[in-house]
Parts: sequence; C-alpha cells; structure tokens
Amino acid sequence: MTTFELVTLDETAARPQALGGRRVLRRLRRNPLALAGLIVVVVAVILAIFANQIAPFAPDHTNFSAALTPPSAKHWFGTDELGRDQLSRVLFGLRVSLSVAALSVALSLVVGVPLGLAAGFYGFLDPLVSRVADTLLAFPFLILAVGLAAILGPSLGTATIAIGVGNVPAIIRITRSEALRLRGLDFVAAAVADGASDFVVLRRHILPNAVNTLIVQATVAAPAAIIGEAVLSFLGLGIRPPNPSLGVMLASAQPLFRDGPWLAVLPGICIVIVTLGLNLLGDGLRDALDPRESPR
Amino acid sequence: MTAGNGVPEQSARDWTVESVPSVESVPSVERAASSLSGRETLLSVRDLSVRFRTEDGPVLAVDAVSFDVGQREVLALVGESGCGKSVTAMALTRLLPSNANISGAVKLGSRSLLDLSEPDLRDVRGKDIAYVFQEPMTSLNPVLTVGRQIGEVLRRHQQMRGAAVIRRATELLDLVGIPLPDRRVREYPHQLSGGMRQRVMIAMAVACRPKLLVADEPTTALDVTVQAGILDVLRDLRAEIGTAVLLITHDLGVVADLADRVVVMYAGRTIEEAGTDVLFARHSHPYTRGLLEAVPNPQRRADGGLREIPGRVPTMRNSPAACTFAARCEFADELCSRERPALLPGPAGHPVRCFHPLPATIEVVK
Amino acid sequence: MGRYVLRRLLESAVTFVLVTIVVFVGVRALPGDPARALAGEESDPASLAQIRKSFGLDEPIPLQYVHYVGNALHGDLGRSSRTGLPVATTIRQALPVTLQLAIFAVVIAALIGLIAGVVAAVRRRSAAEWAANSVALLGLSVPSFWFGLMAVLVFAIAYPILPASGFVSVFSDPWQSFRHLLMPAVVLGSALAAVIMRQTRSAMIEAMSTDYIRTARAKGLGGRQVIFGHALRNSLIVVTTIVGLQLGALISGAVVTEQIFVLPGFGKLTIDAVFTRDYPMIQGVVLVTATAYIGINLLVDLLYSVIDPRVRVGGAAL
Repeated sequence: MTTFELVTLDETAARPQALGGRRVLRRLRRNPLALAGLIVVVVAVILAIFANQIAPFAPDHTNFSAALTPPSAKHWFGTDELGRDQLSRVLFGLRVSLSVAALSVALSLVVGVPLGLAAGFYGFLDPLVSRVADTLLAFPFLILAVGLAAILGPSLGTATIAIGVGNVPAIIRITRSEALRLRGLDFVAAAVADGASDFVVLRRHILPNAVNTLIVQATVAAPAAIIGEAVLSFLGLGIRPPNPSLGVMLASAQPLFRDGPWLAVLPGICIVIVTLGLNLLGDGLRDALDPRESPR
Repeated sequence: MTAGNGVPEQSARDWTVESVPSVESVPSVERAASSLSGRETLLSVRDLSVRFRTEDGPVLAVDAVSFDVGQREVLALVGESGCGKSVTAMALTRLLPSNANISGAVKLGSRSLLDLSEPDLRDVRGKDIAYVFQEPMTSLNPVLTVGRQIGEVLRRHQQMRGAAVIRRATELLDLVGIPLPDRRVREYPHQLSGGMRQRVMIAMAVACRPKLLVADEPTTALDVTVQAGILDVLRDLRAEIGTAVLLITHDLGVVADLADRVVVMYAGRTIEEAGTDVLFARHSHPYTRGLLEAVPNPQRRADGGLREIPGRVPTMRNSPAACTFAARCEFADELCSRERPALLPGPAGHPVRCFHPLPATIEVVK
Repeated sequence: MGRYVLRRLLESAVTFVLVTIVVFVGVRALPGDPARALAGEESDPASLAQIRKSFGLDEPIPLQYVHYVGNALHGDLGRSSRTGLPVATTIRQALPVTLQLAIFAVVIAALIGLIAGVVAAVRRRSAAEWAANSVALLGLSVPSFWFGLMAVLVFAIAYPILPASGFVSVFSDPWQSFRHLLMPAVVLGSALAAVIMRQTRSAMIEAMSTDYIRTARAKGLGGRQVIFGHALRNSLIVVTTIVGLQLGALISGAVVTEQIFVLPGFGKLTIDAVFTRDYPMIQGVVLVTATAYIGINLLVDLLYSVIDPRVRVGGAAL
C-alpha cells in the first residue's frame, strides 16, 4: 500500500530548541522570588567588593573595653570577646565566602567539563574517566577536605580546592550524560557529515546545548560552596583565625553561646540570606531555562 | 472571475448567507439523514471551541467546530499539523491541560459530556469513549506489565478482580492479533515492538467495548508495513464490536482505506465535510485540493515533482472575521479577507466553508 | 540482569582498589614522620629505627600496601598511634553511634521529603506547595551546624526539653535514645529532606506530563490512582538514585553534627584522628568510609535495577 503522506513545510532535522536569551530574561523578570534572589546576590557582591569602604571598623581592630557587647547603635552586630566589631567581620567574611564560591565553581567547571565531554564523546575514554570520578566520589566531601587540609595545611586555598574538587564528579557526570545524549542527535551527525573536526563539533554544537544544564548545576554548587566553606572554617580546616570568615566566627561563637548569643545568630543569618538568595536565583534560572511552556 | 483552469466560476454571491439557509440551522434530524446516510447519531459536537492560556497570550486552537459521528461509523478528521484536530479529539472528554478553556456542546447519545463533573466524566473515559494515541513508545507506562495496564481498565469499569483480569487481558491481546498472548501479558512495554505496543493500546481501548474509539494518528509513528496491520485490527474490531471510530490523521491513504466520511479542518475550523469517495472525487475547498495534490503521485512525474501549499498554518488568537485560508489560497479575493465564510452546501452538495468553492466537475485524484 | 550485576560488581571492585591505593599513598603524603609521631617527643635514632622496623615503615611502599591490605582483609587495621588500641576495635565501637544517627536521619528525611514532595507536585500553585517549597529552600540554605547551634539554643537552653549532647543507644534505652538523637537527626537530615522533597516534586511533575499519564487519564483513572499507581512509581526511580548519591553528604554531615552534639561517633573519630596525626586511624577511618560509600552506591544501582524493569529485563529490538 502506498502512503499518501502530506509534506508539511517545516520538517527540519530536529535541532534541540535552545531558548533565546531574550525569552529567558523575560521569564526571569516575571518571577518575583528569583528577582529577590538576584537582588540579594547583587547586594552581597557589592558589600563584599567594597567591604574596605563600607565597614565601620577594621576587622581585626580589638577594643577590650567594649568586649562582648550586644548589638547597639555603635556596633550594629555587637562585639566579640576581643571587642572586635562583628559587622565589619561579617562583611569581610562575606568576601571570603563569595570568593570561595566563585573560585571553587570555576575550578570544578574547568576540570570537570573537559573530562565529562571527553568521556561522553569518546567511548574508549569513558570507563577511565568514570572510574576516576567514582574514586573521587567515594570520599565524602569532608574526608576529602580533611585530607587536603592535612597535606596542604588549612587555608583559604585549601578550602577552595577541596570544595572545587568535591564538585568535579557531579560536573563530569552531567557533562558526560549531556555529551552522550547530544552525540546521538541528528544535527551532530549532520555536522560530522559536513566534515567538522571533533573539536569543532564539541565546541560549537555539544557544549552550547549542555550549557543550560551546567548553569543549573553551578547555581546549585555555589550555595553549597558557601556552606561548605563555612563548615570547613568551623572545623578549623579552612581559613584560620584571626582572619574573618563566617565559619570561623561561628566556631568561636560556640563556647560563648550563653553569654553572647548574637555572636552565633547573626553571622549564621547572613549565611542563610546569601545562600537563600543564590538558591532562589538558581531556581528561577532553572525554571526560565526549561524549554517547556509553563501553563498560567 | 475564472479559476486558473479556465472553467467559469459561479459568482460568490450564490453562496452567501442570505440566499442559502445555513446548514447549522437545519434541524438535526434532517442533517443526520442527509450526511449520515441513515445511521443514528452517536456523538454530536456543536460549536466546540478550545482556548489555551499561554505565556504569550491566549491561543485559539479550535474554532466553533461542529460535526456528528454516527453509530458504527468511521469519521476521519483530517488536516495538517497544527490545525486543531488532536485538540478537538481530546476536548471531547476534557482530556486537556488545565490552561485550556473549552466551550460548546458535546453530546454522547443524550448525555452532555462537557457539563459532567470530573468523576462522572471519568466513568465515560475508557468505557464509552476510549482513546488510542500516536506514540506507542511513550504512551505506555514503562514500569508496569502490559497485563497490568490492560487490567486497570477492566478493574476500573467492570469491577473485575484477580485471575479473571489476567484471563480477559490475555483474550484481548489475542483479539488484537498479538501472538503468544499469555506470555506477552506478563511482559513490559519495552520488550514489545512498536506495532505490538500499538496493538496493546488498542486492546486497552476496546477492553470495555466502547461506543466510540478515538484514534489520534494511530499509525503515524509506525513503519509502513506495520501500519497495514494496525488498520486491519481497527477494521476487524469495528466489525466485531460495532464501535464507531473517530480517526484523526494527516495521512490520506489511511483515510481512503478506512474512513466512511471525512471532515477537513484548517486553523481550528472545519472547512469541508463529505463521504470519503466524494471527497476524493469531487472536493470543493481549495485547501482540500491542495492536500490531495500534495500527495506524491508517481504518475505526475512529468510536472516536476512535489506540489506544496505555500505558507504555514497560522496560530490563531481570536476567530478572525475572514477566511483563515485566504493568505495561502490562489482564489482568494477581497471578500475572503473581509468576512468569515459559513459552512454551507457547496456545488457538489456537501458542506464547505468557502466563498469560492471549486466547481463540481473536477478530475478524479486517486 | 545477571550481566548488569556482574558489571557493577566489577566496577565497584576496581574503584575500591583505587580507593585503597589513594588512601594509602595519601596518608603517606601527610607531613610529619609517623615513626616520630608514634615515638613521641623524645626519641633517639635507635628507638625510631626500632619503631620503624616493628611497624614495617622501613619497607618499600608497595610492600607496605600489600601487607596492609592483607591484614585488613583479616580485620586487622593496625593500632592507633594515639591510644595504642586496635583501630578496628575503636571503629567498631564508634560505628553504631553514627549508624543509629544516620538511619534515624534518613528515615526522618525520607518521610518528610516524600510527603512534602508529593503534596507540592499535586497541589500546584497552592499555599501548600508554596510552604513546602519554602521549607525545602530553607533546608538547603541553612548550614547544618548553625541549625544545630540554633536548635540547641532553643530546645536545650531556652526551653530545655531536649538534652544538648550525649548519646544513648536505642538498644539500651529507646526513649532516652530518641530524646538524645532527635535534634541531631533532624539537623543531619534537614538538607537531605530538602533534596528529597525537591527531587520528588520535580520527578512527579515531570511524570504527570508524560504520555502514559495521559493514557491513564484517558482510561478513566482517577486522581489518586494516577498519582500513586503511576506517577509516584516512576518518580521513585529518579529519586532513589539521587538520594543514593546524597548519602555521602550524610556521612560528611555526621561529622559536624557529632561535633556539635558531642556524639562519640565515627565522625568525631575522624576529626580527632586527623588533628592528632594518628595515621593508622586515619587510614582505617577513610578506608571504612570509602568502602561504605562504594557499597551504598552499589546497593542503589542494584535497587535501581529492581525498580526499573527496563534495566532488569532486556528490551526487544524495535
């Protein structure tokens, strides 16, 4: 039996519908929570960058006569047992948190993306890369951090590397599965048939389509990095006192809990706000990048 | 004004509202008699419209569509992708997402479906009106066995339990022509081929002997060789169970093979309605001719290949006061952009929505 | 299925071997001389040499590795350089504490997460969904140790109804055990609950817009049946894999929680070992953790194959 199919005019070799940038921005703008998150993040970044100018006191300026005072007009966040202004320390601590977040995410992307692409695209590399990723995964983040701190000595750099490396397996996994998925699609076959080299195919076809998922992963990794840095400093594995870091502040606040609760409460609230902002922004981005129509 | 082939056309005036009584105002009995050739009406759809609320604003997918399906009849709903035929089919039992706004009347026998509450409508779905969908790969739940999925319908509507369910499910698999049914009944969808999955879908649909089977592009996702088998199944079932079929398709070959009557849709509106043979031989709407000519015809090799209808199906926001096909029609004039044509009997005797329908004497296109 | 299981076992074995090598070499890379650490502050070259010999530290590293693995397979993980007690024994004492805490935390997290996730997916755009989302968001944004500190502040200091520290085994006194473990378990499980809730919600939403759900509706199936019989069933696959991946974070989190609530568990053991440069202990602890982790992953994969028939039974060619 012969088919009598109609030829519709827009039968294209399905290129996955990546959303246009304008559409994404429009969707983002319409999401009040995401906007709130964006504002919080922007404010935090500004505060961190201009901490020197904004902070009323130097973060390590001690003043024993004003030790352990609760929040007041002079010291908005109160002072600790050495009389140091908590607000200033929080601002500088914010700088530390945000830089660790940014650098660690960058590190994990720089290491993870090429590995993941290679694993997904070249079948023979897959088992090797996957085993490496699994090995890395077998060490819970803290164990990894503890080990690195023991070898390299606790510092900001150690914390950054530990967090970044800890995130690498997830990036590898995501990039690899995207590469696998996209490799089988028609438009890639078309590009290869046109004589494009592997590198070009990866760069121009596969990578842009994986970007969306990577963005989403980055927005999940950033707040986790901030919390991770706080945890590491809290345990003494990251930045060491007297340098201010939100985690360090919380660690020193623990023994003074009953006498100065504000020492623990306020830096923690700051962590929560910034992380919440990043999470909201991340959620908003994720929804905006989702190619599905959202019914109203 | 003459058509392209030199045959003088009757003037547009003859087909305007004043001179000919609107088909829609003719009492239903008369209409049923003339178009359904003696069958009783099973399903009656009147002025069905579906509007979607989307991010970019409202979209009118179905524009005041009306048609009837007779008992044991196969009615084909034909048109290009995006013309609203699938949405129409899903709207019959309100199977659309929550951002859809359905208006109009749908009557099954004497019951008005759109007025029913959701629980009552659930009694209708699967029992009186059953669906077969286009993609057998994704339309079956991958983690449940075939027997379990067929069993769901039996449990729900016929209160069957236990071993009787498996027995009946196996019988149904046999009915739709699946070999080794007692083995298949325990298997998972991914273990079956595409054609077999579609047969499973059909088995699920006819499990409760529905009055109407809605088949939405049942063969489109299948190979040509498999298609024939599926059509045979549908044909046999119709003979055995006496179910009417609403066949949604853009494949005119399937239409020629299976359908008794055809309704052609374009941009959410019905534009022509006729018996299958009449439609192929003496169609009246320029769009219908375009559809038929677009079918690749080996005998036309000399002309130089495929004919297409230039342009694309528009997405409508509201119902325009104009003919929606005007932009792509070679016969369109100023009237076509100014007024919405009504569905009226055309030169060949069957309803057509056009100000300049094609004359009745046109060569047969097979 | 047999082939799949075999393959996974093989992969896990390879990973395990790699992990032991990394641990072994890693510990050797730590600064400081283990012999000196064992000997203490005052030590003359003679006793150092003696210690090296008795601990086998003068042998080439690959040989040390082989000895270590051989001993480990017999349950001998060496002796702690801090206490002198066998590493294996110390670990075996600390493990139940962490296990009880972790299991409690997982149960709480799964209950809250699944229920909240299903509710949020089913009642979209309602107050319930908004509430569930907000709580989940908070769970992800609040560092667990701060949450722990705040919990202690409220429930142990301000309104003392729960103890701030200490551990009671569930086998000795269930009620006291519950009281002591409640806060730590909630703190530990909060992030996991948030993850479970979000994954469940998104998997359910995705499932509900699939074709087979459309088919289920077209068959006349009602809301509850569609949700539980179809959507949730399919969502569990994704949720299980993701949760499995998160269990590693749970082990990490336990370290912090045990620090705050002073629970003599595995996590505390780890931290102490690192800060006192107790190499045998570090080695033992990391080895056990990594093994547990590989084991959990393997379990999750096998579970996955049970839940998803596509993995369990091979598919026919199309």
